This record gives sequence, C-alpha cells and structure tokens, in this order.
Amino acid sequence: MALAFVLVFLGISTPLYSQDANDPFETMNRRVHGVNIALDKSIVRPVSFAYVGNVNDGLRQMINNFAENLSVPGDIVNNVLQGEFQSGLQNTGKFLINSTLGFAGLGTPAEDLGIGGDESDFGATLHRWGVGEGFYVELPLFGPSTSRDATGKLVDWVLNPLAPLIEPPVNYYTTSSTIAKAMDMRVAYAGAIDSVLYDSIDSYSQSKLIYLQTRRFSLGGRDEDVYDDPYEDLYGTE
Amino acid sequence: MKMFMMTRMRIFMAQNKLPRRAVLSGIVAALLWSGLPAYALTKSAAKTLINQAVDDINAMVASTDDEEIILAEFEKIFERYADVNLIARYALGAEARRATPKQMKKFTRVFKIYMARKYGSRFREFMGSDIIVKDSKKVKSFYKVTAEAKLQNANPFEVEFLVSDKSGKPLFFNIFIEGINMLLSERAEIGALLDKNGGKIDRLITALEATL
Repeated sequence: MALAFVLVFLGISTPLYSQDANDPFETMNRRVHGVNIALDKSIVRPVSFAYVGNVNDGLRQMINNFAENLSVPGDIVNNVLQGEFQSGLQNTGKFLINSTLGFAGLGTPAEDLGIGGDESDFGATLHRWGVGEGFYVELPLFGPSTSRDATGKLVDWVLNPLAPLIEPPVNYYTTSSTIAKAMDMRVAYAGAIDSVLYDSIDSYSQSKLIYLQTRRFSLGGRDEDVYDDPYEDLYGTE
Repeated sequence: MKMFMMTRMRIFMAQNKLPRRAVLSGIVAALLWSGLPAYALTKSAAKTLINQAVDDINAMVASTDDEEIILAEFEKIFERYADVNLIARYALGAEARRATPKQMKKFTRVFKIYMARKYGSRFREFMGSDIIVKDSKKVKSFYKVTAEAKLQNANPFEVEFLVSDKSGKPLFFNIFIEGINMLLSERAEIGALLDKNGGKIDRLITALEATL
C-alpha cells in the first residue's frame, strides 16, 4: 500500500524548486485548513496550555527527551539513505548512550558529550535523491506539507526500525510522548503560531508560505534566486 | 553610479597626458557632479547598518516594558533603517502602479504602522535573546547581512537582512527569518486584504487601518 502511495505521489511531482507553490488542490486544502483551525481552537490549543500549566518543566522535558530519542533510529535510517554516514554514526552513538545511560532516553547524556548527528526524515531523503516537492497539501491535524513530504511521513512510519519491536502497552507510551511533545511545542511557540493562525489576514496562504520556505531552508541548497532584487523588478511578473 | 565609474575610468586613461593636479580636481568634480551617494555600499557599511539597528532594538527593549512605547519606538527604528517606501510598494504589488501618489502616501503611512506593530510584537518575544550580527556577503546588487538570534531553551535561528543603497542611502529592504521572506509574506497578506476589499485601494487602506 505504501508503495502505491509513493508511486502515485512521485508520479505527479514537480522540479526541485519553483518560486510559486504548486497548489492544484487549494479549494480542498482550504477546507482542511478550516477544520485544522477549528481543531486547534477547540481542542489542541486549550489542552496544550492545560498540559503545560499542570505538568512541571522537568517532567515535560523528560517526556520530550523520551519522544525525541525514539525518533533517532528513523534519523539514522535516513542519514544512511542520504549517504550521511558521519551523521548516521553520531546518531547511532547518541541513541545507544541516551537509551542506556539516559534511562530509555529520559535524559540526554549524549548531547552533554557533544554526540549527535542531523535530524532527518524520508521527505529529505527523497529531496536528496532529486525528487521535487510536488504539490502543496494541508493534512488534517498534521498541517502543512507537500506530496513529497507527506509521502515521506508515511514511509518514515513504515520504515521505523523500532516499530516491530514495540508492542502494547509500550507503544502507548511512545505515541503519547510524541503527542505530549507536540503540545509542549504548541505552547512554546504560541506567540508565533497564534499570530499566523489567528491574526493574519489569510492564514491559509501564510501557513503555506511559511511551511514551504522553512522546509526549503532546512533542506539546504537554496541559491541566490531566493533573494529577488525588488529594485529591479518591483512589481513582479503578475 | 555607472556614469561616475566611466568618468573616472576616462580620467585615469587620460592620466599620462594630464598634470596631476588637473586629474585630482577632475576626480573631485566628478564626485561632486555624480551627486551625494558618490560611494559604493560596502560589505562593512551594510554590516554596520544592521549592527546599529540591532543595537537600537536591544537598547529600546532594555529601557522599557511598556508595549505602546516599544511599538512606537519600533516604528521609528523601522523608519530609520528600512526602505519603507520600497517595502510598501512591493507589498501592494501590481496594484501600486494604479495607485495615485496620494493613495500611495496614505497607504505607506498606514502600512508602516502595521509593520512596526506586527514585527515589533514578534521581536518582543525574542526578549532575553541575543541577536549577533555575523557576516555580510554581496548578492546581486545588494548585501546580505546574516545574524543569529539566540533564544533561551531553543535552537538559535538565522536572520538575514538585505541591504541596498539604491534608495540613496544604505537601508534594509527585506528580512529572511529561517528562510521566510518578509516581503513575500506581506505581499500575500496585503494581496489577500485587497481581494477582500474588491481590489479598491481606498477600502484596503481603511481596512488595514482598522486592524491596527
């Protein structure tokens, strides 16, 4: 099934970078955006604030570390698939140290020792392999993505080396720690997120612009073309 | 600027035939004739401008907690260091071509307050963070000055200021925060507001003023 998804999504992918977002499903995306805003307003935001307000900093940090540690094997797989062996090795060391000395990843002794490689995901691997970002898509609950990065998310989930090892009830801890970390982030960046979702004139367009640009920025390889010279071409090509 | 360079080249080429004093006064004359911005924007001048802007922001934030004072000060800083006219024109997009000078002036005034409030409150969140200006690099006809903002308990992030002297003096005309292009964001916002107001500039200005 995953393979079918990959083929479908990659089949309609576009060149690596185009300045304008490719958004053929804007109408549907805007509908999903409306649902996501409603979910945030009624559930995600209030529950996140309640969580952060009621659970102390130290415990939340440990939960975040636990969730973070469980994502490292996925990073390693992608490091290797991208030929980033140095990062893969560093991340392997980090995972081993934090899982043992750090008590199942609750602590982060590896970071204190300066051990650790780049975070990565299968969307980034596809990018490295020359796959374009495809079309823009806003996913329910997960928010902004592209066809390539959404495919990547799915593959990451399937490829997760820990998945076959984890059985109930342990997988409840892993899932809930990931959700808890997301809630913590929702509050940590509340100012910026609220201003985009609730104060901007067109929050759909702003979320899209911000996602695509930060994603391209983190994937690297942007060239000088991202820096237009408005003195030369003030009104664009509209 | 080009004209000035050419003049200077010609003077140098003629150097062998001319007495030194004549050459010197020729250069001086060329400098005067080419007008005030008779210098090229340099790497370090661009960096200095952003350093001053960052210092002003830090000093302002350290001096008061009053939100209204901060936002008013931020507006002044924005005016002093940014090419507000260009940013306003860019945000209005193709519509700026149809705007009358009077509409443009009014829009620019309201837009400036809108920008100062929006980015002023964003910058307030960086409080307690350190913005360090790192490097300056020539890109196309301008300079990109890179700074790093260090937040407490979070990864540092990158801020790039684009600086040009094409307005007549060195000013920044765009900011990229972790790759997010401020000009593009604002063109999308103002474009959306214009659409909501039937493409009418006067109604857009009123609506923008109402958001302040």
